[in-house]
Amino acid sequence: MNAWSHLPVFAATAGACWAAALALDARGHRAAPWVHAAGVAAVAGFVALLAWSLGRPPLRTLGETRLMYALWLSLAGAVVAARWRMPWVRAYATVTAAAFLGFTAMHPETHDKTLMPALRSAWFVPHVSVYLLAYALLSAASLAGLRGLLRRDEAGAREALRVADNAVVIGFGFLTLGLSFGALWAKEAWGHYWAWDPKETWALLTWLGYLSHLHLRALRRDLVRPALAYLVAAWVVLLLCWFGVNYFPSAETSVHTYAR
Amino acid sequence: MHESIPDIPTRERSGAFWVKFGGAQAACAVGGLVATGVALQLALDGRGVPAPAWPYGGALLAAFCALIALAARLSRAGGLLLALSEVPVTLACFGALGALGAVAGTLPQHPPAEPSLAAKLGAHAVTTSWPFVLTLLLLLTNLGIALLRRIFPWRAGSARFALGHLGLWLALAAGTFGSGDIERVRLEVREGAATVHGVAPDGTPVEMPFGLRLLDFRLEEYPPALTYLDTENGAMLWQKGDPRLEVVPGASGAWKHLRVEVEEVVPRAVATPEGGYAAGVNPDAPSAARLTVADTVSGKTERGWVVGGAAETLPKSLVVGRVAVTLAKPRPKSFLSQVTLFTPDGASRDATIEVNAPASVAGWRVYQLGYDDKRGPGSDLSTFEAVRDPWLPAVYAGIFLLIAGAAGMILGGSKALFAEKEETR
Ligand code: HEM
Repeated sequence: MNAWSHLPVFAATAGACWAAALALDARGHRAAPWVHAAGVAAVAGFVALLAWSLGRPPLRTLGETRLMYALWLSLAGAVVAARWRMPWVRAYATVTAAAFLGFTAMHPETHDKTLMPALRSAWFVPHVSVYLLAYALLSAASLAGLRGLLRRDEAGAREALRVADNAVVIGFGFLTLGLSFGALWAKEAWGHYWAWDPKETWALLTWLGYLSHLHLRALRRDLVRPALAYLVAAWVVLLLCWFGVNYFPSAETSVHTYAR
Repeated sequence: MHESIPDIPTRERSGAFWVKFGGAQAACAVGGLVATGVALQLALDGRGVPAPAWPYGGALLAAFCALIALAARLSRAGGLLLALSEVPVTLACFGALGALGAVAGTLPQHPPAEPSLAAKLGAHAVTTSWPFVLTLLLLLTNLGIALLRRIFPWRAGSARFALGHLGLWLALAAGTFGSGDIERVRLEVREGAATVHGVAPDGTPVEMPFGLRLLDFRLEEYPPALTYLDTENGAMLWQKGDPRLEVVPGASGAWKHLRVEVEEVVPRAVATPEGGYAAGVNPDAPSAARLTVADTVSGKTERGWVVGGAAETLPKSLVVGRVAVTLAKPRPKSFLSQVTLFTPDGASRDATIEVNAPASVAGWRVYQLGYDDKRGPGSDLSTFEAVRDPWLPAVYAGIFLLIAGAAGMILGGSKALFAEKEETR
């Protein structure tokens, strides 16, 4: 039996549930998280079916990896949204997960396309998924920071910082998970958990940037506008890490520029 | 302004510059430490911090812990030792490490060919340079005293504080003081042979406490892709990001002004007297492909064979105008070694080692490293890296505490994190 042939049914079920959940969300309906969860269950069901038919965890091919992204993102996004009443996190995670799922369903040639050896690890998908969530939350925090800076009234700025702070704490939690999963994966793949590879170094600097914000906030609750401005600056480091690393002189020795 | 936390002794916050220890003083102190590090770099002619090996690393860590415990005890009287445990020092250290880290992330981190002032200052080996290591030690001191002060006596919030902070302290301390005990040894074995010898990174031979016999090495490759060369200077015209056509029968695609169709693919190709190619048995032989290439600008069409270069088979390309179409070296899809591992007690067991799936034996982990890439699938040589890191359990304990702390942050949010601060407002 080829389990992949059942994917369209599961994917369509998940997609329908998620679309319904988004529609319910728009009306503020309380059933939205449960309908979303039904969609996650459909993906989990397919992953279980696939794992059972393969006789191993589905982590080796491009198609399998994309499937696991859909599962991780839709699950983690729903947890954050439910815990923090941030429906936008679920919307973001859902759209991303649905894109992964739809792409996998429509491109059967990716189902058996083996990943390059170093990427085939149980840590790979969780590592990338939590980073996707961390970047989204931290970017949202910095946008909230920018909005707060533009407010003229003190109360408005304070409220923006309160919203931003919570997004930073949650986003930083995911960033820490991403860094830790990356270290565990590196140990399995390259023999050491930390190699000061340029990409790792810039990821650490991003982490330090937001860690400094948390400590600054713990030290001086009274500084509002400087904290908002700091968040915007930390975002620049994040973007530099995300997009810029490949252009630095140090990148010639990076193991993380896979495209070569 | 800064508000003190109830039940934690505080310091006098007015008076002379060094008594009122805030951000400016912390920045001066860390700046002074970095300057000391720079001076040491220069005085020692660019030699960085040596990584002490067991038992010196362990003894140093024990002494360091004792000093931190003593400082935590004495900090109850307030004064500079209390300041040493506070957030301004944390932030100043983060700032210095961030700046040094930016150097490490920007400049190549290997010794340059020519000696230079930058190299002498440690800019090409930042993480073992004096400024970096001294700042890291100050950070560990700061965090260590803060930790002890927050968990003795145990009170509300201690657990939450301890998870992330203790996790990070453990991982950092074990990683730093244990770095001299990490051993990496390269092993090379041919199919059917066994070895107990390896080579350390500095070239010295090492006798391993285990033996390894290579039963079988297997490499699977992706289908080769087409590549394009300039007939006049041999330069590679295909660039990263250009369309990549995998050579499988029936495949077709376009690259710049060329349209390519793949008519036939022959693995392990041997030339036939008729000028074609047939599949042979030699695993070292490259693939051959028969292509039709149409130049959409000149309207010309060429048909013929292309062959990737490899042992005993001449490479062959199809020339269309100024462009030579040929096969690129195939990329490895997966490779693994089947081995027998012999342990010091005389036992042996079989294992499969592949990338991302090392084998553990006698306190070492053995990783698949590479193979003879000139021969590719025909390689009968497999290279391994054996790694020993006795401090790994402590580092992992730290990482798992950090993960638990991070999960707590995701579920607790900023309210929980800054709870005490809100109360004291
Ligand atoms: C997982 C990451 C971390 C988080 C979430 C975190 C969070 C916090 C928070 C909220 C406080 C304020 C506690 C208070 O004053 O009541 C704090 C204090 C502190 N943090 Fe962190 N921190 C983290 C990592 C670090 C690191 C890496 C260091 C230094 C190496 C550090 C050093 C300190 C110090 C020294 C204090 C002051 C402790 C005190 O006043 O009792 N923290 N941290």
